[in-house]
Amino acid sequence: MMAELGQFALVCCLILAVWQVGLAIFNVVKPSSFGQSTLLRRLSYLQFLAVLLSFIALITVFAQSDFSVLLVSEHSHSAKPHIFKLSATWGNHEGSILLWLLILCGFGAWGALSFGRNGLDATVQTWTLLSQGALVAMFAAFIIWTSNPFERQFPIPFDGADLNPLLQDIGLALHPPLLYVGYVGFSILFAFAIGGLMSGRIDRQWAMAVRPFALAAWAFLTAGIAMGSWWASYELGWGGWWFWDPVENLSLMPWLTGTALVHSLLALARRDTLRAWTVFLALSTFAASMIGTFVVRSGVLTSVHSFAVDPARGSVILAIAATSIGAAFLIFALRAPKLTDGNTYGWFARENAIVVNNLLLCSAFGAVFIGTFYPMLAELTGGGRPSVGAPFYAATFNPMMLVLLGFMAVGPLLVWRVNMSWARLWRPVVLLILGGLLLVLLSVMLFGRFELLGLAVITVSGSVAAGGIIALSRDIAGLGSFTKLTPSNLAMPLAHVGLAVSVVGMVGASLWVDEHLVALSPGESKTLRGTNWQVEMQERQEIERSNHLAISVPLTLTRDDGVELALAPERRFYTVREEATTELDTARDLRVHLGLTDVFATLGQPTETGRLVTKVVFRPLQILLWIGAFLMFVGGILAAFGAREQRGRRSASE
Amino acid sequence: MSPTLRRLLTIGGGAAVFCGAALMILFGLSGNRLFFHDPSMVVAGEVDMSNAFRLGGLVEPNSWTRDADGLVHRFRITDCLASVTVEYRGLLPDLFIEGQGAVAKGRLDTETGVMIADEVLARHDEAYTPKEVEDSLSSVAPQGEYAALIANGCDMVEESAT
Repeated sequence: MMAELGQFALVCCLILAVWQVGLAIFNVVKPSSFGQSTLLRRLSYLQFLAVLLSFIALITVFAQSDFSVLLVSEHSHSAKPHIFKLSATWGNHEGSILLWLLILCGFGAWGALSFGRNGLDATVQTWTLLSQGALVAMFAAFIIWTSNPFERQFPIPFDGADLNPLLQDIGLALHPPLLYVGYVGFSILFAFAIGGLMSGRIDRQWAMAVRPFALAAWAFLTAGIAMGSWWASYELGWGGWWFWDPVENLSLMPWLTGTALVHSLLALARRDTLRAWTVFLALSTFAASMIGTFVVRSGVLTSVHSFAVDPARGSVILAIAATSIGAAFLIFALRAPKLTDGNTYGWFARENAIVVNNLLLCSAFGAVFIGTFYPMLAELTGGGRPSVGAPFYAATFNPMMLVLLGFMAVGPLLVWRVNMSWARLWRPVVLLILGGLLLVLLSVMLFGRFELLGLAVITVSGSVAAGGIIALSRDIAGLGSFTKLTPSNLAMPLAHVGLAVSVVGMVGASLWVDEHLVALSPGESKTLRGTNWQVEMQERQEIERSNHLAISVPLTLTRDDGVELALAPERRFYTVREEATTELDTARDLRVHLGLTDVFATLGQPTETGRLVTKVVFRPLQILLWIGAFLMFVGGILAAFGAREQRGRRSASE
Repeated sequence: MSPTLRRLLTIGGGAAVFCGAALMILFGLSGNRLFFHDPSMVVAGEVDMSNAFRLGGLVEPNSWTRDADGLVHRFRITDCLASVTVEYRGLLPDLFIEGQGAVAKGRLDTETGVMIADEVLARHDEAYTPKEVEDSLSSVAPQGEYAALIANGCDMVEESAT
């Protein structure tokens, strides 16, 4: 019954979207009365409600383990823990694309709601809702005809096939929804960009209306990428946090252009400049998100994420992506020449800092794009089967980002419109340098590592953090008291400090890693080569859990001065799918580098002699990666709220 | 500054940055590509020994040995026409299984012909064989029949060759 209800709601959503598109076209041809534009907006709310109902129905059939639904029997099992029954809803192609549609409609409804207060005129509204409705209609139709999650089967199997064990994890429960909110959130920018271009109104008001969406999408994309990286760092057991895997890159690409976009939107909202460029970035970010969706689901690229590989579905998504991206850039090409230049600014003003930020982020985007798609192109053109990995990005992406970090330290100190004078700049620049040196001093004292590259990156990160803090303290001085700070004042410093913190984490987690392989029998202990740590293995324990058997091997790590860490890595055997996984275990201790070093252990297969290989890894500063990402997320959300408030104040005063 | 000159400078500056980035990417690409080869190509000497590369195929049954501590693994990767011995120090992935697909990244020891791998990847779920492995084997056996192929000690190939 639930499955039929879900299916019905999904069809309703398609009809509502088609209705919305038709009505909007009618409005464009024959300019509307007020009543019709209200109806146009209500159709967006109704689409959201319909998909929400449909998604709740899907969650319900998963929660009930209703194996008469094909999708449930393929991806769930009655003995699976409850939380993973729910997350299995989006741990597969059909369910995840329904979640995608839900978020698309959610942003559509939010967009329609925002028209009540942002004062964009009727033409912009109509074109925006038309574009959004068209996207919803295409994706709803795609789900109904190629990826129906509610398909029944007969005979009804006794139990399900269970979910890939790697995916039975809290990281997976959270990573896709967060990432999708980011990915899909940028689609509303596509709709707004079409709206603005068709009505010729790419201006301050448009930028202010769009900023909350861009910032919210950016914040969630940041959180989603970080969550995926966190999941990979402990679940895949390879002990890395970023692999330059094509699918990771596909989420990084919209992040790079999206980061450029939220900055250029600020310039447009404050100073009415960079009009055409901002729209171009908005469309590019949307295009990057669509390409990401297409590539992940089509199996075009070789990746560890190759779930839901189906060329037929891929080609439909490619058609949707090509239509929407093609239409978007065609409209841009036709309309952009009509956009005037906007206000001018000095070469050493904040606007130009944003231009430099944009150029460098787009260059970095280029590097990731080429690195991701070159192997495919080379193969198509008969150039062998090359792959590019970390060394390529170390030679291209990393230096670009390092230069960007350098500019990022200074950027927030500049002012809008006019050149910053050296007389006003030298004191803060000295503070920036001091900030960098202070951070390097701290890290050398704590870790005693002297690699030049790592220390250089940490210096620049320290300066970036100092730049954010100086900008904040200037705001406080300007307002007279820190109690008068608004979310907007806090947003940029938080996001910039967050990135600096993450970058420091990246230095530690990639350059300063220390790995040890040791073979041990129970009761045996060994010294880790080149360290003052000893590792001892205890008797292994067998644990039976609801859907797997685990062999847990308790390890004790002891340092010379008596500091002890207990680790219990596991090997698991999932009985339904007959698959083995390794679960690493992590420990931190305040006496080990102030708790900033992740110490983890993982297990290999046992040998004939009964010994077990364990890998013990010290990964300094890794935790800062996630802390920094969290700060960026909070910064992005505060900026989104701040942008809404500013817009509210402005429209109230008008 | 006239608007035209300003515009020219902006566009010129942007173009300069992008040209620089493009050059960086090109040079980065030329020096950091890793090519994929099947065992036959390696045995036939068609591989540039000086560079690291990726070797893919099936893990030959009964070829996987470990030293007493289980730290160093030796196994052969085969495409049913030729096989190459791989040596790897580390933990193998959970889904590394004899008779299944794997990809090793590393350099060939020119004297012994053994590949010293610094990374070994296997499938990551039940439905997935590395794409390159699938491609390179598709000339030898129809899709999905590699396991049977291997179980028979690559007999099908030898029969068809004779």
